[in-house]
Amino acid sequence: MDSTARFLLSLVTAATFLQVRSTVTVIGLYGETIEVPCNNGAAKPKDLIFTKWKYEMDDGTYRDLLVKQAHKEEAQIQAMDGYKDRVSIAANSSLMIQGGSLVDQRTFTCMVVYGSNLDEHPVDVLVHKKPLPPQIKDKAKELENGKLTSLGVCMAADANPAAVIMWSKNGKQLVADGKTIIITPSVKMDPSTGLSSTTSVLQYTVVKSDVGAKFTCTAEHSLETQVSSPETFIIHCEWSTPPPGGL
Amino acid sequence: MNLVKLILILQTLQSCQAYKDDSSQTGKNASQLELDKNQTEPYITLQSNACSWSPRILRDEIWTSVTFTAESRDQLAHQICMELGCGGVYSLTETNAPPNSTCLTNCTYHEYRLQNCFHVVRINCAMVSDVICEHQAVRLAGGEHRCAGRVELWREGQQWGTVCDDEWDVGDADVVCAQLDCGYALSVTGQGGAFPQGKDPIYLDELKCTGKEGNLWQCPASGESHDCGHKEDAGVVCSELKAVRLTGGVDRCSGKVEIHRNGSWGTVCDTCWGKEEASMVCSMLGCGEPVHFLAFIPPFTHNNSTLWYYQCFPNHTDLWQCKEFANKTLLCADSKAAGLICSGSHGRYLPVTTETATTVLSRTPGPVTTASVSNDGFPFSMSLELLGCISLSFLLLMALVTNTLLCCHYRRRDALLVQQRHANLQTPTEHHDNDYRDSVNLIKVTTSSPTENDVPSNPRYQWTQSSVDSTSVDTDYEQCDLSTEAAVHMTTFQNSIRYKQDTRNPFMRATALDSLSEEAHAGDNHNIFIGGIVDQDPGCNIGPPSVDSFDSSSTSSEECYENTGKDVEDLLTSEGMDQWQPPVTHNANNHLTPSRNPDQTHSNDQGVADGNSGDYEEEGHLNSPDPNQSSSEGDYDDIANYLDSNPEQGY
Repeated sequence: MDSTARFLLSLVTAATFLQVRSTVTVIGLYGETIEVPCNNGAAKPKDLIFTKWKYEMDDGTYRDLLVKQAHKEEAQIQAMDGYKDRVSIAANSSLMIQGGSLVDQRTFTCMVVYGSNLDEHPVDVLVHKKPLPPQIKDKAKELENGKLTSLGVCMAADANPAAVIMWSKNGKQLVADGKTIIITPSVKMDPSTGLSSTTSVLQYTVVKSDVGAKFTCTAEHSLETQVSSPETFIIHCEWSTPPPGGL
Repeated sequence: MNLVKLILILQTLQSCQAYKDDSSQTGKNASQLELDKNQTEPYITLQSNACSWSPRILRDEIWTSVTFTAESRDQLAHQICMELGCGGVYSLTETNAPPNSTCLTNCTYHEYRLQNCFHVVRINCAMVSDVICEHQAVRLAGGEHRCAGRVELWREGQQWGTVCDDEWDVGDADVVCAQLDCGYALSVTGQGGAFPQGKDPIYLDELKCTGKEGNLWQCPASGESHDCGHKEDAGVVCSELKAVRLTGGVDRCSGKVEIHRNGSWGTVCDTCWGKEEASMVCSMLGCGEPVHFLAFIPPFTHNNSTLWYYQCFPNHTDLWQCKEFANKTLLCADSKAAGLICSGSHGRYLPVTTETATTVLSRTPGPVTTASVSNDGFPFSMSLELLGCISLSFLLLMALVTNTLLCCHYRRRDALLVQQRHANLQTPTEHHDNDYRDSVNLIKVTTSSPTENDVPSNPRYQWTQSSVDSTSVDTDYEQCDLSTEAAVHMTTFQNSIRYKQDTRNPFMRATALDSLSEEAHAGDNHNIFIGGIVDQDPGCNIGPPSVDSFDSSSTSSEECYENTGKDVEDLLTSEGMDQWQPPVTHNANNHLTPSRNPDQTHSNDQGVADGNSGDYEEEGHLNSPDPNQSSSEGDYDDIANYLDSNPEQGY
């Protein structure tokens, strides 16, 4: 009986602790204002004294962003870095970060001091950006029947996280087999913005039936999956009859 | 049978009960019993100190304030205060009772009780809550906070008077601090202390309190028969003194915010630190508006002392009105120490080395600031800009000085010619171009006198310069506009010597100058007197010609005077505020001016180091680049004399 109670108590305590300590993740949009909720947007304590937002540096130390005294109208911005002009606090204690960028992908902590208590609510912020519409470049001028040729390069630029590119022929996904279809993807990150550009090179061996086929590439991203405009290719057929004139 | 038994038992029980009631009643104080019954007889309850009290009455089992008629109230209050041996009534706190309420009158006071009161219905009944008798009235005047200052007592409905510092010690001061709810005495002050002198009567002298008395009048003392003047007024700094200061900055208007309590200086947690709080502190320090109050890099660190958190509301105008929290770890969790730069700070962009800050602050007079030795550098990140600024102003100054020098050169040439014509001065001037050398020799011969050489270099006089100034303004004016041919050459030469002295070390000039002007008051040498004063005088536009040959001035000197005057004025008004100023300009002058006698310069420096104030540095460099200032020749040639003939003197 006693041990059960104790167990329950410890469970509850652990749960409370976890609730306070558990990290919430928020995904914000690149370039837009990121709202980082304090304590999951829970109501402010009645005897709130102040709310402070801070963030964790890469070296594990904390930097203060702002302090909002409960009895004052305006928050005091304490940041001295790039956040100085970008942060504010909403009425519900959420931290508002203007012009979200990848540097904001870090842990922000809301410190709530009330009565005789102090709670800290860390929030992990991720900043996502969908890629620019995928485009097929470096298109092959003409394709030779039965010959493995680089069809083109598809690029989905400036995304976070990086987009995944897939190729399709007439709306049907092409699967690389290492012989007739070779797809070579690569991801490059812009060091200044941190955004990733995905490129994918399609090497394809055309067959007769590919005449008039529409090739597209698809950039798959958590925010939006986009499809490039379709491309058709001239297929040079050495041994075959010319393609029907009325195609 | 059973019934009878039961009755018997019941009866016994009843009688028992009755007996019990009786015994409990007899155990009570008779008067209390009476009071309980009619609830009309008020008590006088003394508060913790013996000379303030409240009339209380038990009404519906609650002790409440007593309502009196206005006449009765005044008469009773006075009588009770007198009978308590506490003088008259100092103050009386009351609230007006509603009209036509019942109140007491004609009470007689006897041993903390009011007896034989009549109940009357009046329109002017007042509910008296607290009465403070005269002996309880004390205040600390002349300080920045009610818990530090000159001790003043109130007596006989007249006025505040002071206490003499003879035998004045912490025990005595403890009584005052406790009375004012200011904790205990941290330090006592007396003659020469930080608080200004009082006026009006001196009430007590040679107090010998134990520290436990309710007020100073209860301590053994000699009262009327004191032998004190107001310069001996006693003062105290109590532990609850609320004071704020800024440390570690370039001056008193910038640095880490520190709060005084119990003799130690704590820091303010920046979690509470905003524009409002910063404004309060700047204005409390008389430093203007906050310029920079957040985001110091590196941040200020907390002292190993109390952490203060303030909750200031819009209606609060100074920090002491705000809600104050001491050492609330929650409120100060991962906070830094608040820092502040007010608009009144001169060095808002100056990165200050610990060394400079220390010297500056240790010189500052006053009980609060003396302790303010910085322990960390001022975290300003603008050192580069500052350096640029300094070097730029340096260059400008150099240009100015060069110009003035050139101008001076030409003047001097002219003057030399004049001088030769008059042939009063027998010193051979071998090299006309070498103005400095010539002029020095010249002066040596012409004006040296043995008395002047005896003038001690006394840095103490620096502090009295303003008074010298004020006493001798008229003389200045006299000499200023007088321009005679004969005087011009004197002027020129003496200026050159002066200039040299100045530029070598402006401190020296001030020191010697002061000594000289002091001497002038003694009436030894009129020339010296005048010369000594001119420097400090703001203007010299008008006035009849003086008989004194030294006093004539070239017309060009006027502008210099204006400059000097203005600057001096500034310096005098701003007092300690200027001490931060690094004497940059002095170096500039040193570079530009040939040093005739390095040894002498050196000794001058030493003299300066002995105790010059920042003000003089300031003045020195302001005057020095100005060779045309002619009417100050008196002192300058004296200085020259003094220095030349007595280079070792005073060091």
